[in-house]
Amino acid sequence: MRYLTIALAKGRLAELSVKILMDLGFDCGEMLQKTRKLIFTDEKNKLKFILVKAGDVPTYVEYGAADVGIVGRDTILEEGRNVYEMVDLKFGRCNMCVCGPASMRGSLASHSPLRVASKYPNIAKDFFESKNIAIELIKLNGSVELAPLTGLSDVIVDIVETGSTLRENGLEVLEQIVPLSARIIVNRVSAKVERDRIAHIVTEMKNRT
Amino acid sequence: MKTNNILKSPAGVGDIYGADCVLKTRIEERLCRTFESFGYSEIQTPSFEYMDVFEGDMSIPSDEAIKFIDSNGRVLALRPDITTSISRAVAAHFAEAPLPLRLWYVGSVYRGGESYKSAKKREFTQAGVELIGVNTPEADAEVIALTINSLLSSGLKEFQIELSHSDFLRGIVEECGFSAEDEETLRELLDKKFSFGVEEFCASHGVSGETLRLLSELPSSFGDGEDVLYKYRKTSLNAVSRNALNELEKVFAILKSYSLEQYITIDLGQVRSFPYYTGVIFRGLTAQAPFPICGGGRYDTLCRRFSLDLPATGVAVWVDRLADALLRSSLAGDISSSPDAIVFYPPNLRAEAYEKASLLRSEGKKTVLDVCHKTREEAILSAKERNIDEIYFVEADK
Repeated sequence: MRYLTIALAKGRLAELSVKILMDLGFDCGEMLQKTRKLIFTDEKNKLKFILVKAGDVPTYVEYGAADVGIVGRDTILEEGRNVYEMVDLKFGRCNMCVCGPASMRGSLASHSPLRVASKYPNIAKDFFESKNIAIELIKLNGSVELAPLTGLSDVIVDIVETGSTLRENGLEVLEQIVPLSARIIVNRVSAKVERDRIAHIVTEMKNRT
Repeated sequence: MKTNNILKSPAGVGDIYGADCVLKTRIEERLCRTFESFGYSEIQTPSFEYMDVFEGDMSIPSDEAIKFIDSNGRVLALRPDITTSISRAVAAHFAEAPLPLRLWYVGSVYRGGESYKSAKKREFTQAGVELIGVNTPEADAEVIALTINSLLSSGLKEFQIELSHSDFLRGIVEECGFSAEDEETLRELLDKKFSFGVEEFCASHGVSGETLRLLSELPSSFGDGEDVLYKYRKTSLNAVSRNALNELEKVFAILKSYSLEQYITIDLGQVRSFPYYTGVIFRGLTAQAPFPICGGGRYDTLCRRFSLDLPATGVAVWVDRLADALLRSSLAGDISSSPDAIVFYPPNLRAEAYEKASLLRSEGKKTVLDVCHKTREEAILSAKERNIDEIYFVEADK
C-alpha cells in the first residue's frame, strides 16, 4: 500500500484538523508539538502529514505532492487551483469582506479607481470586476487594517472573524463577499485511484464536524 | 539582445534531451506502432492555422490559444488542439472517401495565450487517433480498446480508463431550465465534486425531488463500472440521461467482451472536458501521474463546423505526462542516451576502423567512430566520461 499524503495549512486550521484526525485514530499528535520536522508519518494507516503555508496547500494537492489538503476557502478562491473541493468542514467560519471607514459606505462606485489593499488580490479583483467597479489594487502581506488608516488605500478586502480588530481601528464591514470555512480538497487523480481510502478519511472527517 | 538572454527559452517551453528525449521518442514510436496495428494511417496537419478554425462554442477557450498575425492581417493560432485541425483536414480532403476513416497523429499542441499565468508548460506532445464517420458503440469501444493497448505498449502497467457520457448531466440539467450562467455555476460545483455546494445551489434555485437527489449524488457517482451502472439502472431518468446511460452500458459491455473490464471505471460526474464532446467520453488515470494521461470521446458535431456532417470519436495521449508516469514508477526501462561502443584508431587505419564500426553497428550497437585521434589513455578516459562500455582500438598487426 502506498502512503497517502495529507497537507495541512499551518496555524489554527492545522490545530483543529489535527485534533479531529487524532479523534479518528490517526497518529499525528506529534504535529502539535514544537518540532523542526516537516513530515509526520502514521505507519499503521500508511499516512504522511505535512505542514505547509496555507497558500501552498492547493499547489501541493494540484500537483499530487499531497493527495488531500485541509485549507480555508479563502486560500482555495485566491489560488484558483484545479482540485476537487469535496467537503465543507464547517469550522474556521468567517467572512471575506470589503472593509473601510464608515464614510465609504455606499460610495464605493464613486471613486475611480477605488484603491483596494488586500492579501487576496485575486478575490478582490474578481469581486470588483463583477460589480463593474474600477480599482487600483495594492497587494499587502499583513496588518491590512493599516492601509485605510494611513491613506494607503480607500478600502481593504480581508477576512473578518469577530470584527473586533476592525472596530478598534474605526473600520467596519462595508460589504460581504463570500462566507469562508475549512475545506477538504483532493487531487483529481488521487480521488479516483485511491478512491476507498480517501473516501473513508473524507467521510469520517465530515461526520465529526 | 545580451547573449545570456538568447540562451533562455520563452516561459513555458524548453529543450528536451538526453534520457528524457530517448524515453519520449520511444513512447511515441510504441504508441504509433499500436495505432498502425489497429489499421490507422498517419496524418500531419500544420502547427498553426487560421484562428477561425479554433473559434466558436465547440473549441477550447480562445484566450488559451497562442495567436499571432499574418502579413495580410489575418489572425493565426498555434494549434491548441489537433482534433479540430483534423476535422478541418477531413472536410477539406476526405469528403468523398470511403468511411469510416481511421487516422493517427503525433505532434505538439500549444496552450497558454492571454490566459497564461504562472510558468506552466505551453508546448505539449500529443499522440492520438480519430475514428471518423461512424457512431456505433463498437466505434467508441474500438478507440478505448486501442487506448488501453497503446498505454500497455508504452510500458505502463496500472491505470484506469474512466468513462462518462456528456449527455448524462445535460439530461438532468434540462429538467431544471437554468439560465446559461446558472448552469455554468452548477457545472463548476459538480466539476469540483463539491456536494455541499451543489445542495446549496439546488436549495437556492428551487430544485427539489428526484432532480435534487440526482444532482447531489452526482459528485460521488464514480468507481467500479458495474457498480455505478447498476446503481442507475433502476433510477428514474429523463430520456436524454437514460439514453446516455444506455450508450455507456453498451460500450462497457463490448469492452467486457474484449476482457478489458479490469481497466475500466466510470465517473458520471465527469463534466468538464472539451465542449465539443457529444457522447461517451473518457480519460486515463494512473497513481503515478497527478493529471490525466489521456483523454478522448465522441464529438459528432465538430465536423459540421467545416460543412461535413460526420460523427467521430478519438483519443489524445499526453506523451509528456505518460513519460513522467513511467519514470516515477520505474517502468521506463533502459533510457540511456550513451553509445554502446567507441572505436579508436591511428590515421593510417581509417578504413579498417570504419569497417570495424560498421560491423558493430550491424550488430545493433550504437557505435561512435573517434574523430580526434586520441592517445590510448585519453581514449579510455573519454569513453568513461561518456559512459561508453565497449572500447575498441584498431591497431597495426605487431
